[in-house]
Amino acid sequence: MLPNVSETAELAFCQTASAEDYARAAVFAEQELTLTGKPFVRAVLCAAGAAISASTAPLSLREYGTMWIPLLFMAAFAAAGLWLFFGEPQRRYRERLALFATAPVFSLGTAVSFYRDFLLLTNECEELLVYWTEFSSCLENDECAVLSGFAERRLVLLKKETLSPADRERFSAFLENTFASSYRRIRPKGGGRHGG
Amino acid sequence: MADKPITANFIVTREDYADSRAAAGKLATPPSELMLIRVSGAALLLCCFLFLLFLGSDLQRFLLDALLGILGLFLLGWGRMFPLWLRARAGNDYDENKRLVEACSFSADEKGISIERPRYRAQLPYAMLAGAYEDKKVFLFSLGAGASCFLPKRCLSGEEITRIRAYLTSALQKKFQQEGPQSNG
Repeated sequence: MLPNVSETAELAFCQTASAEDYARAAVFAEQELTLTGKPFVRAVLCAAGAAISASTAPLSLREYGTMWIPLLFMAAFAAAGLWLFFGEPQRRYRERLALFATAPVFSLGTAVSFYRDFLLLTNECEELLVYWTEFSSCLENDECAVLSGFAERRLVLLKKETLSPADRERFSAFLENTFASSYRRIRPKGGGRHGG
Repeated sequence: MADKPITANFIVTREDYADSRAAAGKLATPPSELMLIRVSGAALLLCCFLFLLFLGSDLQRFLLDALLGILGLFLLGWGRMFPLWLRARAGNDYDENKRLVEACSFSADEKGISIERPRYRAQLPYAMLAGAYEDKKVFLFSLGAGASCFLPKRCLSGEEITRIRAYLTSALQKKFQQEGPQSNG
């Protein structure tokens, strides 16, 4: 036990993350943390680029006698948009799967304890205490919560699958209360959001 | 009889932190990627000279050619500049974040490493490491997915450095990378 851990945990549970869990959580966080991380937004930006390129075609024809250059740009933007919408999320997911495969420590069963001021993660090799203030954001969906911004871990994944419905409520309420405006709950398609 | 574990106690200084971040950056950059950047830089520089010789020499072309040359030089020197940039950024992080000023106890033996800091404790068998890296200043132990810990060489004697190197070479084999020829201490 780390020296300054003496109070009782407000919530405690165990979890084991798989490569798929990690990859899904990493891609979820990357897409939700910034506006330009979303495939749809990237594709729309590329579509706008393609439209602007296409709109310069008559000007190019009048001034230079050819439409090849704007049409080439339009095709490049369209191809980039398709890639960013369909291909890139899959590539990113596969990359995160491979990343997890190189990190055996992350696949160990971990005891997670929520304390008022900090989070404690314990597995058979490590014991890590992180103050909530060291994270910059918390994203939650129906499967898990992803904490990011801690310098020593790219992300911290907290899975909800082993929690009872009552504990899930406590889990969400605790994170929402702790992270305040840095907390966001992403509902499945069709649902709304709350939090900052 | 097993060797006595190597132990080191240190406080993470600004230099240590910068060294560790530079080492982590070098470990994360595959040599093939670095080679590709260097070859691209050399190709751009070659193009710059060829254009200078065979194309006309009006001011606009000369300026474009000079830009090409500067870009080529930048790419050629990227391998040396990248760690400097990482060090500068780590130095700023350290200055802004006093949480990084921590006392650390480290020990290593033939089975693995153990680390103790105020808010982190680990006993890691070598099989749990994603890789390790050694440069002139630090040993870096990667846990994978961006997580790592490090041991500054300033805390070790020449004999201890040789022993840690031997442990890592034997346990991690190809996952242990070294930067250039290493000196002890």
